[in-house]
Amino acid sequence: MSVTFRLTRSPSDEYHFNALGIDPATDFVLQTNDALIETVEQPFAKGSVATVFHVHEVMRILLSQLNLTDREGSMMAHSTRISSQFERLSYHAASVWSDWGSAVDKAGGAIRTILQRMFGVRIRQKGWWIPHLESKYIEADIDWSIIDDVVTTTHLLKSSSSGDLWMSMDTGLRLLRNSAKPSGCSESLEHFFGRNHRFESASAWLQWSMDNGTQQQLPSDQGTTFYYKGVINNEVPRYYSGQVRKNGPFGSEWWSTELDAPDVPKFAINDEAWAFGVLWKYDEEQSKWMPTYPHLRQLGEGDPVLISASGLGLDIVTEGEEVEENDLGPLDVRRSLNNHLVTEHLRAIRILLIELGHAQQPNAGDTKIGGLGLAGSSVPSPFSDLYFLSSNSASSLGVVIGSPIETIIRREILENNWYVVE
Amino acid sequence: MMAQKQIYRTGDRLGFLPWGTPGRRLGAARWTDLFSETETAPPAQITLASTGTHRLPEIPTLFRHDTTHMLPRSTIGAHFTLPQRITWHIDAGDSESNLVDYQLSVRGAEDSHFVLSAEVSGRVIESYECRIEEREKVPLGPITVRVKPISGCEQEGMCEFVCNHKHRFPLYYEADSQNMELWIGNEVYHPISHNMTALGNYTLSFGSLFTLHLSNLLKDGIDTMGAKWYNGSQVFTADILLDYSDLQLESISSVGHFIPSQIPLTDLYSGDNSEEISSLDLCLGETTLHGWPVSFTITTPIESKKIKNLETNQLTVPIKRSKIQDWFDTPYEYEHHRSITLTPNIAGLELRSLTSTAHLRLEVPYAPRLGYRGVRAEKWIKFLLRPQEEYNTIQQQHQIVDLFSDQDWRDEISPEKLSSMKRNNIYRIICEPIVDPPVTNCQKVLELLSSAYTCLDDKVQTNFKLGKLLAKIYGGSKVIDVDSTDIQVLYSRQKFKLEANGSSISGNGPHDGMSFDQQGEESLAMLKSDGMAYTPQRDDAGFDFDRLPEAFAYRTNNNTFTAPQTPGVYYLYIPSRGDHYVVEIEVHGFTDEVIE
Repeated sequence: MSVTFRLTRSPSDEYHFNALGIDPATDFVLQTNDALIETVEQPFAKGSVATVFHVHEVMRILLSQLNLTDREGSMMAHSTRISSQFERLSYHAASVWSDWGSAVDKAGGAIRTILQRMFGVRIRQKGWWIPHLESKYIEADIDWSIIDDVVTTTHLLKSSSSGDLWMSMDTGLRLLRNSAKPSGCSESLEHFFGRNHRFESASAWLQWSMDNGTQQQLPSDQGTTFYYKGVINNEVPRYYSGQVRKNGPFGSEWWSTELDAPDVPKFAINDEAWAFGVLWKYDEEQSKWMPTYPHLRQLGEGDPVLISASGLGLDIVTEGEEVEENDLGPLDVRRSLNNHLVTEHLRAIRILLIELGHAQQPNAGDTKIGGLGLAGSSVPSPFSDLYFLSSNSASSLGVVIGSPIETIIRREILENNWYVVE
Repeated sequence: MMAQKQIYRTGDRLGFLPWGTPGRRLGAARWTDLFSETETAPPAQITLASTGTHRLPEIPTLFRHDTTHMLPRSTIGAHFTLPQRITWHIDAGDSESNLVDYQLSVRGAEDSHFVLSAEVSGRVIESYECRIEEREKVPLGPITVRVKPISGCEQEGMCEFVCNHKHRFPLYYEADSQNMELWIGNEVYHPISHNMTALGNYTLSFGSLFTLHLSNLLKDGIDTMGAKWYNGSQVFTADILLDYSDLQLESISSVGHFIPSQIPLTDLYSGDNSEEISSLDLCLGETTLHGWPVSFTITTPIESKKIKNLETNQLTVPIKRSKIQDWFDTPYEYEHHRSITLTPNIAGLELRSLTSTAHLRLEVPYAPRLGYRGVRAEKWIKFLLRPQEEYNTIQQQHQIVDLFSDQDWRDEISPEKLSSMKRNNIYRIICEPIVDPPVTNCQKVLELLSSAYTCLDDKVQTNFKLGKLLAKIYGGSKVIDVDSTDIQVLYSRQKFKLEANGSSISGNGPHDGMSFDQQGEESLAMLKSDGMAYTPQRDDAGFDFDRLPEAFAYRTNNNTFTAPQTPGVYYLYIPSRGDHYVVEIEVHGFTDEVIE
């Protein structure tokens, strides 16, 4: 028996572009914050350097071609199928653009991470995703809207000119000029950030906490009580929780063990004077100091009002689970909620003091947003404030930094976090 | 709907937390179900509370006479407290001070007082008790002053001393000496002469001459002495230390002691009451000092006597039996001890710091503590004072057998020892019917005993380390003089040695020793302490193994005996090198619980 091998020619570039459904001659502009990379005139052309934008575009192509599954009334795709399809398209993308692997890494590396960072893809439980296949926009200001769908750029350019699009090669953010936007498929920035579903002000938050907290004695063996000073000078108050967690509250200029200390502010709530305190305790397991049992302490006699998750009576339930009494959910969820509450309380105190003239308010034009108590996450996604504004770490891309909507987004996020911005 | 963790409160859904894999919160909570459509008016803004705590600037509380001061007008502001206006009030007290607006005018005598109070927002938040000093107090260092006797003075006991001092100051002070005071305790004395001299611009020299009686200097209760030199504006103060070495008071200190210093009980209460049974030997110091006559006060348990006009400093005072009986019949801190004190007096002053003490001890044989069959029929001392013939009568009445009457070595034991053992035995037996036997009541000892000395069928197994621990609790081993007529007290399994005429009783003889019960009967052989066990000796076939805890043990290589384990009264008989010894032993349990 004999075998005959026959050499054939490898697929042409045209074959790969066809497989991707991309015309290499498509003409549009990719923006970048990296001064070292010049804007590429024809980003899809053969030999162009692949960017995060290219990865997102390939993902959009994939999602627009995928057969979706109807689950609970929504059309969804699962990570496993997306992953195998992405592998197939990556073969073609890597054949026509350089540094494809590097671009995939910059976009997050793993399929799940790439999808979490993309606009136009909603996250569901257990590896399922809902791609916005129809046009969907978030109107940021009078000029620009964030494209919150997976309509491919090639498709967009059929109805819009290149000048109507602003797209970042570093983060994949896509903006469409409002004048080129079809009507009836927009939602407001306020709606996107859920402003109506947040407490309106620091006062509202603290008042609600006070009204719904539990008056009880603090445990004597869970750490030392410290009271929050709120401001330490009259500049914009920035509290870096990581530093205190590392070095401890003893010696920290933000915390005092003396309730009566003149630099511990007391607030008039329900006609009584209250200060905010926590119990600081060193956590051997995590090797850092942990603030627990957030509470409001009244001057004079009386038990404090505990405003932790348990003090507020908050239970956390994952979809499909029943609410059970005294079940606050898994440890990481409880810890995450408690961190969130302490961050909210501390920010509320600082903002009250800004409002009362004891410190300065932040400026929407100031790119420095560290220590303001904005919501972040180790998983970068459009739900995280830091994802939009902070480019200081791998988990926060600063997705709007350098874009036409940077200042308006910063203002919106600061206002959502109760700051009154000039 | 996005991935989320829903937030519930008391069964109601409030909203959700955006949630991503792998279990991380993605952003701020959304309180979707918390606010109703109509609830749009935000709550009133929370403001800072007025806590009513204010910090006041520091003000002094010591003021000079005839000065004026401006008091602070406002409190010290803080982060969250604005400075507040202070309204000051004055209660002039025993001074003539006054306050106009914020100006305080201080007028008043030395140590007069006034009270300032600070009112903020209609509330008095602080009061200050203020004191006036007429002159500025300028402290000098402590000054040591030598006190010298004035001999030939008409009044005995007069002394003189000079308070001299030189001090350089950083400021210029006037040397216009106006007054000088010496404070001894609460008394004030003035010098015969005093001066204050300027030596250059900043140095002052102080000098004051005093003549005072010794009683002013050495009386009881004096704990502070100080000098004050006054000029027109200052008072210079110094602590004074008086040096009495020139008075040589130690030369009149005296000692005394009783000869003999121990009186046997039976000697004290028998014989002629007028007999002198002890004497007090006194060795007195100088009988005159600096020409001042010295006397002594002797204080006994019942009286005090003064001895004066002495021509010699050696004195022997005989003491009659009746006197000593009086002393011991007078209640005293210690039952069997009495003491007298000897205190020298000079120039009418009793020098208690030079008091010496002589002690007299009543020798009372150790009372039996164990072996009673009930409540003691008679007080021990009363029993001891019975004549010998009464013991014989009691013995016959109670049919008490003579101890060791059937032992062939009985005649080898001293009559004195046999007599005391007989007396003790009678005392034990004339009591009421039997009560509970003695027990070891120390938990720690009990635990150690059972594991350090384990009674097996045919031997007592010993644990060296635990035995050491037990010995530590007992305070170590004990040495017993076999000639002593005292009852010897040991504890369960306590180690001890026997000594005769200062030499240890040793060798194989003690192996043949045995112990007897309270009636001197039912002998029990000595165990051999060897290796890690106490065992009967090889040829002792008749040993009663049921009585292992009652047996003494002896270890040849270190001449050490071990007491029985069971508390009780034992007579230990030991033959050694042709001599025969008997020791009366009480093995006690621990009488007090040891608390670690």
